[in-house]
Formats: sequence, C-alpha cells, structure tokens
Amino acid sequence: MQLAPSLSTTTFKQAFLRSMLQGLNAAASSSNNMSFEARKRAVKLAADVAMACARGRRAKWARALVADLSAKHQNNGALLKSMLGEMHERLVRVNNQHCCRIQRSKKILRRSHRMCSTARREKVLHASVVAKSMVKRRTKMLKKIIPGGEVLNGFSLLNEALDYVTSLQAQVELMRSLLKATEESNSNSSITHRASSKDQLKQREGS
Amino acid sequence: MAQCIPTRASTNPSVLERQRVRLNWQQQQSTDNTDCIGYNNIESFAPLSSFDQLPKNFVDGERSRNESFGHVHDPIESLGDGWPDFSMVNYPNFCAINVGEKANDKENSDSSKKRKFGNFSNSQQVDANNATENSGSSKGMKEDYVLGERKGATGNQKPQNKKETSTETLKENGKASRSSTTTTPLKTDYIHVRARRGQATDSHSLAERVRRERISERMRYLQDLVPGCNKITGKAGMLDEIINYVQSLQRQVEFLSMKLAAVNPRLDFTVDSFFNEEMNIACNTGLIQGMNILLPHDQLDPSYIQSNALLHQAQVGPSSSGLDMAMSTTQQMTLQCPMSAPMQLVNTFMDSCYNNVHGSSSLWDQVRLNNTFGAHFSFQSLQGNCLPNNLKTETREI
Repeated sequence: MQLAPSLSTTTFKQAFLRSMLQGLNAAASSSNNMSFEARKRAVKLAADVAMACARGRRAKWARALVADLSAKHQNNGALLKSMLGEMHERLVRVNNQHCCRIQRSKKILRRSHRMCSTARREKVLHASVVAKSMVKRRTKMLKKIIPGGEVLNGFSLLNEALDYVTSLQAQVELMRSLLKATEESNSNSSITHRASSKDQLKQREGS
Repeated sequence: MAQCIPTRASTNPSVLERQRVRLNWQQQQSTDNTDCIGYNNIESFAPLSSFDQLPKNFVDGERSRNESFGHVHDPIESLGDGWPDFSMVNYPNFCAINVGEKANDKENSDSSKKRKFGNFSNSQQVDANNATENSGSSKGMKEDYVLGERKGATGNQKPQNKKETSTETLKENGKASRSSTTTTPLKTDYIHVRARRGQATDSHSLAERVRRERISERMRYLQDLVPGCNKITGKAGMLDEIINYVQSLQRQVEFLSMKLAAVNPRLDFTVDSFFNEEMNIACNTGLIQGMNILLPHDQLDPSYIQSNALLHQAQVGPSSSGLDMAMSTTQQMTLQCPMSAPMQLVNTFMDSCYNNVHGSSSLWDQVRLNNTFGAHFSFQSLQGNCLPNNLKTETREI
C-alpha cells in the first residue's frame, strides 16, 4: 500500500510535533506586536506547514499545500523558510508553473463544453444522467477542498483525499493535546507559583 | 437444485419478468436455506423481494450503458470518473462458504449468453472469488454478499462461480488477497486481466473494470476512515460525507489554532511550563523547587527539550497531558490496510521509555545531563543538535 511507510503514525506525529514547535518558536520571536488574529494565523500556518512537512514530499497535497501557503503568506516567509529549509524555494517554484498551465487548459475545456451543451436541444433527464451530475458536482467540491486536487481525477483524487484525511485527523489530535498540555501547565504553574510564594512567606516568618 | 431460468434473447428484460424470476429464485432459496450455514442468509435474501430495492446499490457500468432501467442509481461510467460500486460495503454479511458450496453443487448447463441482469462489475467477481478462496476472512465475508445476492438474482449465474474460477480475472500484485491487507498494483506494472465469462473482451472495458475496482477500493478505505459512513450507499452520498468531514476537520484546526493563540499569548511553548507540569505529575514532592534550580533551561536547546519534554510527558504521567493519548491512539489512526510496523513502534517506544523512568530521581538525573537524556530514548532522532538535519532527512527520504 502506497500509504504505508510515510503515514506510519508515530513517526508522522513526531515529525509533526517537531516542525510545529519549530514554527511556533519562529512565530514567537515576532509575536510581540501581533494581534490575536495574526497570532491565530501564525499558529494555523505553523500547523499546516508542519503537517505537510511531516507527510513528506511524496504526497501531492502536501506539496500543493506548501505552495499555496507560501503564496498566501508572503509576510510570514521567515516562518516558512525556517520550517522548510532548502526545499522551500524548489517547492514554491514548481507548483506555480503547474497551476498556471492547468488554469489555461481548464478555461478552454469549459468554453468548448458550454458551446456543445447549448447546441443540444433536447434535454434527456435520465436518472443515470442526474446521478452522474450529482457525482460530478461533488467531485468538483472535493477538488476545491483538497489542496492540489484540481488537477487530479478519479483515483488519484480519492487517494489524496484518503491521505489528507488521515493527516488532518492526526493534526487535530496533536493540536488538541498540545492545547491541553499548555492549559494544564498554565494551571499548574499558577499552583506552583502560589505554593512557592506560600513557602517563601513561611520561611520569612520562620526566620 | 439447478434453477433453469429461461435465457432471454433481449438484453432488456422487463421489470415484471425480472421480478418473477427473482421470486422464483427466492422461493428456491428458502427451501435451500436449510443447508446453509448461518442464519444470515435468510435475512439477507429477504430484501430482495422487490427488485427495485436492489438497483439502488446495484452499480454496474456496463448495465447502465446497455440498458436504462430508469432507476436512480449511481452508474459506473467509463466516462467521467468511473466511480465504482459501493453497494458492497453496506450489505449484511453473507455467508461466503454457503455461496461457494451452492456454486459447487450446482452444475448448470447454462448459456454462454450475456447475463440477464447485466454484467457484474469487476470487483464483485474478484471479491467472490477471493472469498471462496479465503472463506474465513471477514472482509471476504463482507464483500461476498454481493456475489451471493447477484448469484441469487440470476440463477444461471450460480454455476458460473465454479466455472469462473477457471476463467477468472487474474491480477498481478496480490489482488487475490483482497480480503487481507492488499497492495494495489503499481501503475508501472502490467495488470493481467482476463475477461470474464459473458463479458466484453475489449481491452477498453477491461481497463475500465480495473480502474473501477481500484477506485472502489479507495472508497472503501475512505468509508472506514470517515465516521458514520457505514450506512451510506452510493457515490454521491459517500462523497458528501467525505466533503463534510474534511470541512469539519479543517474548521477544527482553525478553532484549535485560535484556542492555542488565546491560551498562550506569547506563543512561547517553552520548556519551563512543560517541565513544571512534569514535576507536579511525576513527584508531587518538594522537589518542585529543587527542579527549578536544577534545570538550567537556557543552556539546553529549546526545541530539542520541548520535543523531548512533550514526548517524555507522554510516558511519565498516566494522568498527564493528552500527548500520551495522542501517542497511544496511533492504533486507531492506522488504516484498515494495516501496517504492523507502527504498532510495534508504539510499543517499543512506550516500553523503552517506561523502562528508563523508574522513579523521579532517575528522571531528574536524566534531565540534568544533556547527553544521557538523548541517549536514553530509543529514537535517536530526538537529539537536539541533529534536529534540523533530521527534519530535512525526514522530508527527503519520503
């Protein structure tokens, strides 16, 4: 199974954690003036890039995701660069070329399709046709959702969707646990601060 | 026990005829069921009382091409995406053995004409064949219902099961072991497919069938992944669920990132906080203050310590953070196409680290010494000075 080696979840989760922490640290360095929105965006960016990096280059969606993110977040280039290392430039360049070509060909396809459909007079609404159009509509939506899915069809789209879903699940789980850890540590640190301050008071009273 | 269903010259049998045939077959089935293994059969054949129920999940590409039944069902089309048959996954388990037995029992001299109800899609036949080969496996059971059902639908098909074992669809690269873990054939390998009895021998249709089967396999995996999809039949519904699930996961990520940003306004996931927690969990003693003194966190590589700390947390405290859960729920994460490696990885990971942490004292000793800390962990990749390299290698190797 193609998915097997790179999606072995322990290594994936470890890699994800590592990259995520790296990204968060990089974000933290510039976090002094950030608004809440900006911080949230930085966290999300770090999480997404970490997920893509942990997955590796084999997955198409990972490459597409990185390309999209680097295109969108020009200002957070430092963050991305630190997380991706030398592959950053390579990934960004390749995907941009690919996307332009696809856009152009899709336009031509769409135009020709429109012309063909207007030429047809009778509208035969067999159930099969209806079902087919339903499926087609949904595949179009799926293509929009999955990063890099526009250029895939049928089998590869499902493949990528499968991959993407598993990594998303892992990402959500890890983020949730990270959140829990920070929350607990916050509460604990407040407790220890209180405890230590109490001890200090006692010591002072004692001496 | 052979049921002689009169073969029809036309490829468009009327609904009435089909229903009649179905009823006849069913009656026969009920008498035959005494031989059958398993209660399932009677139940599972019941829904076939009305033919109309069937085609909803009866996805058959060639049929949709040749005949228009006017039913709303998801077609397999050679054009478009060539979506496969999903009906398989939602039917109750049929008794695989029973089907095989029946097939072997009946020697039906039947026509070599095209099957009355159209051609079965590739996957079903392969599943049936696989099921008869690996009768014990559950997946074979699951997938075999279709065969039983379809076989029932046209009595003349039953004997074909036996005959088809000889003229079966052969595939390279382990398609035959579908019921267990499977590996789809790589695109570079040639897939040898033989045309099934009564089916078109076009290279085109064969290729389509292969393609459809691959897609159906993927859809089945997706169905396992996406929760609550067991009852959904049909491509459109499945795709709907997948889309909803992906969107919900993406929304969850956004929400969690917002919470993370809120919880930690400085975005510093530092050593201090995590180690504080660790202390509380691990020792619950006055070592807390001692720990503060002992830990010269600024000397240690932050990211290294952080990753180590998080992972260490996972092992130390049973009641500790969800990282423990995150690491231990890898089993749930793995796909149905099981990978035994990750399970072992998790086990060795947990074992080695639990072995190392015998008590709070040893823990603090480890923490104090930079070098030994990394060495105690079985995963060398956790060592801090190698961090960037490891990241690169991880991404490069895949």
